Amino acid sequence: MSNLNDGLKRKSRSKSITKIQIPSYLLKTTFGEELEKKLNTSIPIDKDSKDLNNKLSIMGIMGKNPGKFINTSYIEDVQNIFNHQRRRSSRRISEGSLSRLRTINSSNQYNDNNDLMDIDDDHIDNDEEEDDEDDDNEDDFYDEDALLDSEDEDDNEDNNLEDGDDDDEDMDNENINVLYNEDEFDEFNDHDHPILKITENKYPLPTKWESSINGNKNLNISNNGLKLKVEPLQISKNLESYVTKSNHEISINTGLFYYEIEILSVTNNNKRGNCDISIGFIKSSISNINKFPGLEIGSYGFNGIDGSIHANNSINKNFNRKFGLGDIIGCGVNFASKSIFYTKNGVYLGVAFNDINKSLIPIVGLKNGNSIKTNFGQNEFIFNIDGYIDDEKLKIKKKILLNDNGDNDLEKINKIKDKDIPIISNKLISSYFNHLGFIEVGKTFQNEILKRQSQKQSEKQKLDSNEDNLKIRSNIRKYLMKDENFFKVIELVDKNFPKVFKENKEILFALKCQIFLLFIKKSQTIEALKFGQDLQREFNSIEFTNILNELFSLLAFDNPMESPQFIKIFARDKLEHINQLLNTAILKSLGLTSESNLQRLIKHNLKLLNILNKSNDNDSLLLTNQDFGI
Amino acid sequence: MGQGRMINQQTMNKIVLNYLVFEGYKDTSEQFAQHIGIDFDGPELDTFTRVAYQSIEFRNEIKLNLLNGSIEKVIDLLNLRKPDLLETNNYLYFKILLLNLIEMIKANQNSNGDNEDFVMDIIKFAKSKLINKVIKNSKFMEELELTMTLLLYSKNKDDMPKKLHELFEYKFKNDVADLINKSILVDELRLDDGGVFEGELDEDEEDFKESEEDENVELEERNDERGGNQEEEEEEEEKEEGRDEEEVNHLDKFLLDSDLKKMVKLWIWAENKVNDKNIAFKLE
Repeated sequence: MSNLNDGLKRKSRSKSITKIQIPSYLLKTTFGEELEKKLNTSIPIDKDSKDLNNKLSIMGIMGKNPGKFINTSYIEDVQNIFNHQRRRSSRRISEGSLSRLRTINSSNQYNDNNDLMDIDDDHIDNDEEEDDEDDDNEDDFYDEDALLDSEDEDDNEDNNLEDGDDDDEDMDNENINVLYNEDEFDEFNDHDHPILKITENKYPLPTKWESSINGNKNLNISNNGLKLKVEPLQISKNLESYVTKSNHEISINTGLFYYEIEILSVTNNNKRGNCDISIGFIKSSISNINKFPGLEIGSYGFNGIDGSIHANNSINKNFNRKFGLGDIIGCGVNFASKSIFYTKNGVYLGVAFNDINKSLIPIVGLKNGNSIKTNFGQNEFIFNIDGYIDDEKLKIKKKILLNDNGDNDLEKINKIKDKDIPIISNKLISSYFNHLGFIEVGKTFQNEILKRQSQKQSEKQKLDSNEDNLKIRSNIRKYLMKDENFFKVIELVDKNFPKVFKENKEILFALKCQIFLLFIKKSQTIEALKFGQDLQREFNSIEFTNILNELFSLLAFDNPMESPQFIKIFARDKLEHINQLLNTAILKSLGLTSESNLQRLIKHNLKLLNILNKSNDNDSLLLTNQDFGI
Repeated sequence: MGQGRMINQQTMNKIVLNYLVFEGYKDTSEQFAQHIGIDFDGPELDTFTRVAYQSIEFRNEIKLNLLNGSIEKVIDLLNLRKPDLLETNNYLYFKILLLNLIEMIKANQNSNGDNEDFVMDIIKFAKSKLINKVIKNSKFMEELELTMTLLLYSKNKDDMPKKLHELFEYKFKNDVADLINKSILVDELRLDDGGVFEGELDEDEEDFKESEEDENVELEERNDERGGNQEEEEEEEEKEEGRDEEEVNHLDKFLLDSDLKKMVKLWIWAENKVNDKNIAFKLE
């Protein structure tokens, strides 16, 4: 044990962050999908860096056209800000500044100022140092010291759960003016952590063997907890059994867990091809483990000496596949099929045990002279576990997608049959268009459906165009998107839905910003200035000021319409975004649901699956959002 | 699947567009894409929707023709654009021919033509086109026989048994339309260089199969194993596999469908399942 402690101490001095990537097969389960979301959250920037961002933003460096501010004092100011910040917390700033530098670099396309580049280099150096350190870390997969570090981060890590959906667009938008997004700067930082930085106590699955169960010194465990070794026999003639389990249990909602061991050495007096090693699982409720896997109640094992598999202290059956030196044995539990299966050298041996419905913990038994190496998912498995899980998922998906309610299923609460689905789907789509106020699209859709209903089809689906507000909403959309007549939009909304702007000031602001841009577009500088001043007076709170500053900077351009910034700000999708916000706000103000039926269906599905999952329904364990395009 | 996730507008737009393109609603999908500012050549589109869009006009044309009863036109169109499809997909070809036969019978019902000639026409058609497909496959034969009994009811539809009625009415036609649509999509995806289809297959067993082929031992051992231990399961599987191979719709394997329809199916399944569970809980 003293060796072990030395090892730990030595390690704890080295590095502080552990990296782990969730094995790809786990990402195909509900559990893995959730886990990734939970873990794939970066350290949110603290208040200091937020202030920094604000400062930089006001100065124009974070903004879209820093060039206009370039003068010596500006550069000095920027350097001061960075230097000050770096001293304060060197590690964090260098992480954050990477993203900031991206902004700076891309901004530089529009000006040739080299002084700015100097600052960049300075920081890039800093980042590289940081990266090197991280690389070193990868060797220390499970670092004891990480426990300490994690304490700091725990509080922060859960805050950003909801981001991440929009990764793709955000990346595209990185240098686009995200005018109306207050969290703009937070989002930049979210993309800087492609590799999960988590610590082992946050990772809820087995990652290593526990040091010792019965405190026997003869069982040696490597620092990373993956290699086990029992010293060869010396005095006594009887081989002793040594058993250990992993650090974490596998709960049923994990869905599937798989690990592999490689036999590194075997007892001398064993013949080639077999060994005194047994691996498997034990119910995690059992704390007192004394015997080899499978040789006591609640434990399951596969023994290398004769290839037999044992459960609850009785031989279940015999795989007739011994294993020995150099073999790689895999052991998996599939809670969806409630079974435990084994593999040997990447070959599937089959199901060993059924009716597994309690949480388990990996367990291994060795005798003198044996040693093994374990892979809990840190490395690629020799068995094609991804293929296995795809196969299992397919079975479940078939159950869902090829299932059709029979005629006599009276007890079924949801009696929809396959032949109803096209009609339901079309209705959902129609109502979605209605919801968005896409009146023309809805009509086109209706026509296309009618064209396909060759004969006198009974189920003619009529558009609910008697909704008064649909017409108004459609008009608003037209003025907004087609005519770009924002005054008219504001007027219409005020007249018909007076509550909307009172409760959603930011939408009014967004619209007025577009008016301002329109003046610029038409080169009506004086009107723009006048209107801008009104804007400043009307929207004087801090959240609007920054955006206004950016807007005004457009005036500095000789030909603002040709600046890439302008094009981005005025892009069509910006208007579409405003339209959607406005539409939702109007529906809300009318007391109508702001959710479309489609959205409700998705939410309902998620809820149902959540219920199923919580009740440990076996089928739902292996389904992910992605499987259904959500 | 968790609840906490925000369902944003983009996700739903994507689902809707996926559905429209999948089902071949050409005008609607184009108009909708324009409304939400998505370009069909643009990067925002997922590969499936992009590839599917390339054949949208073709699929729409086929669907319209088929639903309007111009089956021969459908066959012509398919032979023109996708000559391999009917040759390689016996199941699909059979279903289309069967539909053709049904349409012929229907057409006669509505006219007052010479009955004898009509029956001869039908038999001629069945002989020349369908027989060689049917001999190899007993299941096809059954279906053909069933279809031929339609002739018995040619003048009094109301007496028709339910099974025949389904064949005669909209449902069968819709099924065939769906089948053609999916077959074309599968083919298009396969032709697309982007390797999309590998991804699709990944989801659907193929990947694992490859590994099985690589490691023949594995397959053997699996079978050995199953034979020993899970006799019941094995029996069920055998029954399934025991059916005529051609008859099993190869599309089942791909589980290809629009996201929206998948979601509706998921809803039906999950709701019933939750309900079943509640009953079980109450009993406890």
